[in-house]
Amino acid sequence: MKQFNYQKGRVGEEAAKNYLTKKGFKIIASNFHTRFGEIDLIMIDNGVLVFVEVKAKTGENFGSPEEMITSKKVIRVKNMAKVFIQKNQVLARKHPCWRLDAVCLVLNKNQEVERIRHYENLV
Amino acid sequence: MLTKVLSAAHFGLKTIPIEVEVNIAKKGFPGFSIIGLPNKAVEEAKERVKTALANSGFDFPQAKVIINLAPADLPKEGSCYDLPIAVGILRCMGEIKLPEEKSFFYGELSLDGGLRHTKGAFLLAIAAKDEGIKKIFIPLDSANEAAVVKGVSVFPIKSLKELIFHLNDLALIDKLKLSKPKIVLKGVKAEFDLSEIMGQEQAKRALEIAAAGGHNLFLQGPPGAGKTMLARALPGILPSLNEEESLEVTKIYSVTGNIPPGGSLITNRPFRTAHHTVSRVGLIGGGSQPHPGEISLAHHGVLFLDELPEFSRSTLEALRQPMEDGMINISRSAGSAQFPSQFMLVAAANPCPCGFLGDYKKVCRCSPRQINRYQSKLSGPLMDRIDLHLNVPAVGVGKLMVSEKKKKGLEKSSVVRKRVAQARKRQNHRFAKTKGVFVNANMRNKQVNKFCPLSLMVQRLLKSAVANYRLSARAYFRLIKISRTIADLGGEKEITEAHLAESLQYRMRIEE
Repeated sequence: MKQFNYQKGRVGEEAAKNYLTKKGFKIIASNFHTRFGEIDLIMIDNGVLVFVEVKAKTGENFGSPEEMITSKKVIRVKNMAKVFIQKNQVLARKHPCWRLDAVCLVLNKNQEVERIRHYENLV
Repeated sequence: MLTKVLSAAHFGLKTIPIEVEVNIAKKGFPGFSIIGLPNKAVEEAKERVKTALANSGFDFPQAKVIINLAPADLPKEGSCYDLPIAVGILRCMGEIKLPEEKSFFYGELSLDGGLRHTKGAFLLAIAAKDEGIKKIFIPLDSANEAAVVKGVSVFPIKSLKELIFHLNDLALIDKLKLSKPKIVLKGVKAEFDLSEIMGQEQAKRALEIAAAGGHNLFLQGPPGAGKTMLARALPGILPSLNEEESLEVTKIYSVTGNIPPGGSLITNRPFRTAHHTVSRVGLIGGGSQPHPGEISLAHHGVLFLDELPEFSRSTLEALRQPMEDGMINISRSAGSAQFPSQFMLVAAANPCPCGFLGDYKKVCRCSPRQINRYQSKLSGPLMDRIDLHLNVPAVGVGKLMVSEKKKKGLEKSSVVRKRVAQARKRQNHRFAKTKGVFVNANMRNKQVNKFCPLSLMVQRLLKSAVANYRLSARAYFRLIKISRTIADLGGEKEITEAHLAESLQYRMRIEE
């Protein structure tokens, strides 16, 4: 099961990355993690550093992926973003503005993307 | 899209209309938030509304939903905003249309989409009348309460689905017509009948006077003499509330959620007992959002405090002002609220720690110091406010073992009740034009002078009594009020010396 979830996450992240790249985002890093948490994607959009949380779900019978991003999760990603900025000060100085985004995906049984939605600037 | 739905908040006994603004934004991360100083119960409306909508066959919108409860600076509490929030969301989704006239929506949702009994419905209907709002939508269980108020159409709702059908003109809900304007509530019933109590003739007479005039009563006697029994027989001889009193009492009971589902007006006179561990806020009322206490729940009824000296000093002293004014003003940082508190205090106590001081059978084994300390727990100012002081001596075995025939001869509560009702009727007639006064005990000094003229003979007796017993000015006026009640019980227009003499014997005990 764990293995399966991991795969699903990979599929979701891959799909999100492609989706955002098509929108003109530039990829900086993916799966940046420390022992406190993880940021799925780090990208640059119009000079703004964007930290992306990707949430994929198979089917919506047990709630939408949007519901799974709670305020607690947002705070965790925000803290991780600060860690990233600390560690990459050169990059951060180049892009002083940053924000948090979310990409929510619903997959069907064959692990194909059914719908994908991008939300800018979580607060 | 933005929708506004009207609801209401209660602060004390005041009702303030609340605009529930619902906005479903197309942009932004999906979420559901309630703003406008909601407390925990309002905050939890989120989950109830979400589930109730899902169980009524609607998908909760995948969008940014914001609810604003305006005015935003007034703290909101309770579960009554579930319905207006659900209605606002459904309107934003385009599932329903709102009535053209201004209407109140009020009620708690159940997870299955049904509506539950919600407190404060009666106050809501009064507010609707004052604000000129013609329609109110309210849970079925609370609808009887609201329907008491004339001039407002009350629509009783069983479930969210039913309301949706009604608002879309698919299946209309009939507005509630209360066939009987009053429904007598069960609840306060006397535990004992006066005929069950052996002996204690004097106490029974004092009980009757207290019930007739709404006077405060203090019973003192050894353990087992029947003090508590006498007090608990009191509801049996109290007549039901008249219309005006009933409305006032229903207000308090509605806002505290003490009216059972389906109930409407309270017509029984309240009888409240408080254990001596009661907190000051529990007795007087209070809280950061002012709530009525026991004294307000006993409005127009009886507050029975058994074992009076065991109550904490500060609790008892807090009773002084509301006893005198007939209302209590509770001021907190959130604001101040007024609650009526025209109650009749019935208190019982032992004369000393062992209980047998002055008993004719047993010897008191308390030291004078103990007795002094025990009795000093009851402050002079509090005792001065009690009109009828009564010794309840132990009953001899001869009075307990009486024949069945004699037992049947004892007066029933229902007979006494008729006399009390008669006396109260006379008082109602007398105070018909005096607002806020219902019984003799409520009279202000001005009204005592107006309604209780004393003959020369009575004046002379009163003068010597005041001089001999060194009565306070308050005691002077209270004496006249009791005399007035005794005269009312006898059906007499003038207060005579006999009436005054009888009232004096209930006063003398503390003046010794």
